[in-house]
Amino acid sequence: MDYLINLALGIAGSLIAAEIVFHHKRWCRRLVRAAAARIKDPAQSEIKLEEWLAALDEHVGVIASFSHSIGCWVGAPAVAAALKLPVLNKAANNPSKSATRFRFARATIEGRSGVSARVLEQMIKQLSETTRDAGAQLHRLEAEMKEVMRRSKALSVSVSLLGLVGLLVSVMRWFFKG
Amino acid sequence: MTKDDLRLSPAGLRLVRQFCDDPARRWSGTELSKQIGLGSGTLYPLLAKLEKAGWLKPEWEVIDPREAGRPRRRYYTLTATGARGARNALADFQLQDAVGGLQWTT
Repeated sequence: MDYLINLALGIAGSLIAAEIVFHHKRWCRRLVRAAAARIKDPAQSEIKLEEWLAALDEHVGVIASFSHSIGCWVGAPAVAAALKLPVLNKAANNPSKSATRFRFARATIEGRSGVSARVLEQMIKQLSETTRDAGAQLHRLEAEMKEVMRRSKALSVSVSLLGLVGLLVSVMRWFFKG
Repeated sequence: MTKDDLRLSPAGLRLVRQFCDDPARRWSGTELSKQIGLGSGTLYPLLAKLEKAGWLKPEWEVIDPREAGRPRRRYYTLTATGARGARNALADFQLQDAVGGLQWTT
């Protein structure tokens, strides 16, 4: 009985999956249209609809298509909100404004770290020198460790050889004694 | 947010960095989505925001949708304003990162 139920469920699942695969682009298009309709400005809605439908065509597979459509639907209010934002002032790229931003950034560093920018630069310089020295010391240590390892290896080989010779001598003594 | 400033989320910074890497290139939404791994729900609001700010210039693909049998793609290109703004935004982010790191170490 269980076998028959599983078989029936399998067939039903396959049929539903086939239907979804067959119709998914149509459903996704409908979802994208609904998403574009969430943007109240008709001109922008039209633009976004065409853009999102073109993007939908580029998505291959059921999951990717649904993911795109749902993403558009969820993101549509944010798109509408972004399009309502005031146009930014062109002075953002004005050199004098940039200088102000730089001064502000410098003041922020000084304020937040509690030290002046000059002291900060000196600290960074010292830190980089210390790091460089530490790196050089690390390299030296590594070389020394390698040398120690090489020596210990040679020593262990020598000890093994000595042991072998000792064993050989013992065997020979036992043999001649006998 | 002042009018001179465009605050960007980490996803926004990733997006502008992608444009800055190849400023002359025009990108479609799908290409950007695949390249930086952003979903449509995050990407399109960001693109709209940057477009409104004048950082990106959108243009339609030059095809006849009836002949092609598909809608036109919309491509985005970084403007000169956008390039400057993006550089400032990325520099600000690095600066804040540096200040944060400094506070953490002291």
